[in-house]
Amino acid sequence: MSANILPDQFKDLTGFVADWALPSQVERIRKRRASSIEEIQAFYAGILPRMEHIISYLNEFKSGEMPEENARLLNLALSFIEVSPAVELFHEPDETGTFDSDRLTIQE
Amino acid sequence: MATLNDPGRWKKQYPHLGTEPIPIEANVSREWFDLERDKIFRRSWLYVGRNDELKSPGDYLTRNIAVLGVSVLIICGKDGKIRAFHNVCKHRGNTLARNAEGHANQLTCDYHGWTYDLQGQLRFVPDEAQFSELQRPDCALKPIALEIWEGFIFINLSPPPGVTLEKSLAEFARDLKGFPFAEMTKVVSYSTEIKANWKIVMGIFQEGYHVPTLHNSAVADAGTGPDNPFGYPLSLKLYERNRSISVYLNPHHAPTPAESLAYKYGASLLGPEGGLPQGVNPLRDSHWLFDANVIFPNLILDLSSAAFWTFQFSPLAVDLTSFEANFYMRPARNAGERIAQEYNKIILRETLREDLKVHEDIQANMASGALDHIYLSDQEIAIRHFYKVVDDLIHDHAS
Repeated sequence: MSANILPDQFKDLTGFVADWALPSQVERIRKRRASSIEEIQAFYAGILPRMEHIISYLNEFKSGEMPEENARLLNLALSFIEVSPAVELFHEPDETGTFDSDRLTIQE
Repeated sequence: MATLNDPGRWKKQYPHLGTEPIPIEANVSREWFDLERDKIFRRSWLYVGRNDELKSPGDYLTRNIAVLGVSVLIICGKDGKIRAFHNVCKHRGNTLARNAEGHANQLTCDYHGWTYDLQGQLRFVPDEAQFSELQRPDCALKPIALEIWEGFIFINLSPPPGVTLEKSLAEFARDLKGFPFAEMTKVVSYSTEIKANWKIVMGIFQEGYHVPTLHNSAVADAGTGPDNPFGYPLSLKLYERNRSISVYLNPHHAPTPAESLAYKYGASLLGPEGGLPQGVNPLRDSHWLFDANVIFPNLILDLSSAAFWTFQFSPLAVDLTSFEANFYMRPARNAGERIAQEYNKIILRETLREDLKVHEDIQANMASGALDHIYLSDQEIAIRHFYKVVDDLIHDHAS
């Protein structure tokens, strides 16, 4: 039984886990909106080059049967997706003037 | 592409709709709102949800049809049939089921313990002998007409409904049948209240004119391009009350790194797939993004290759609307598909947030007297049709 925070080959991403390995969309969007664009860009830049590797590693496992370390890795990837519009499209943590996401009830 | 950009394409196809500016009265008038309540919402098939949430006997939903002041209980009976009732105990009128969704073997009123079965029949009354006039069949839950099409549950508060659901869906019943609805499950729901008239909020989802401006940061690059800078629809069909708009996909769209990753490993929202019914992407255009199907009065059902979604607009007041968006996609079989699904959820959510941002200002501005009319370009003809349908119905104009 492994006590790893992340799978061994992704140990270098451990620094992101506390902030970004979040298990729900509600938590991930709140984190994005509460971060600076610099923090978001640093996270995005750290994960982007590893994404193909993360996906092919996780694809080896059946959905829904993941050990904790894999679940954290997946949540990092989902946070990457959550922040990607901020980096790629809006160039700010949240698009200025858009509808307040705190007013949306989000249910997954 | 000559037809796509043909000037006046839609007014030539639908000359009876005219081209004049449209008065704003429909959005701010309490008289219109009351007439809409009585002549539209009280007489129409109203969408309440999909039947995949009611698979087993005892599964139930409750829905508040605020404009009519009715609380509806939708429940799967012991026989597997889904029925709707007024969510009201027949003893002294207490609300019966209090949760938005749940599962029960029977329904017990929390006031005096009257108990109903899953078919709405009264089965148990504490101290029943002390009632002199009680006939249990008279006290069954009051039924509401319910019909289901392709898993979409509709109810009708008009006793009896004027037409069947299938007749009301008209061309959609034929044209959209066979879309793989049952292969997709709900992956996320976004809901909120918008301080604007239901028709104001519905308008944006029926035109592409706003895409290059409002969605400039995000999806404008997917919905517009050098061949179609204003986001004209591929096709547009105006029926008696319903309408369908086929939305253009820019072939020169440049994916972002996240999009490229997502669509390498999972289902893309972009581009047509084979095997869709003839009514979806009816021109079989390879530059197709999705179809917006407006089901009268207040449901929009959008169909794309990898997903479908519903937008529901429930009037609460002339200037207040409850909005709910539900997205359905095929279940993710692995992490890559899960990540692609998340990309689709996020990009649709951010686009939706852009779509929702204008309506409250518009409502306030209309109420302020700043403008008397709205002006509609040719490709905004769906909105013109929408206002005409509502106007004709509530003012009894011959169609």
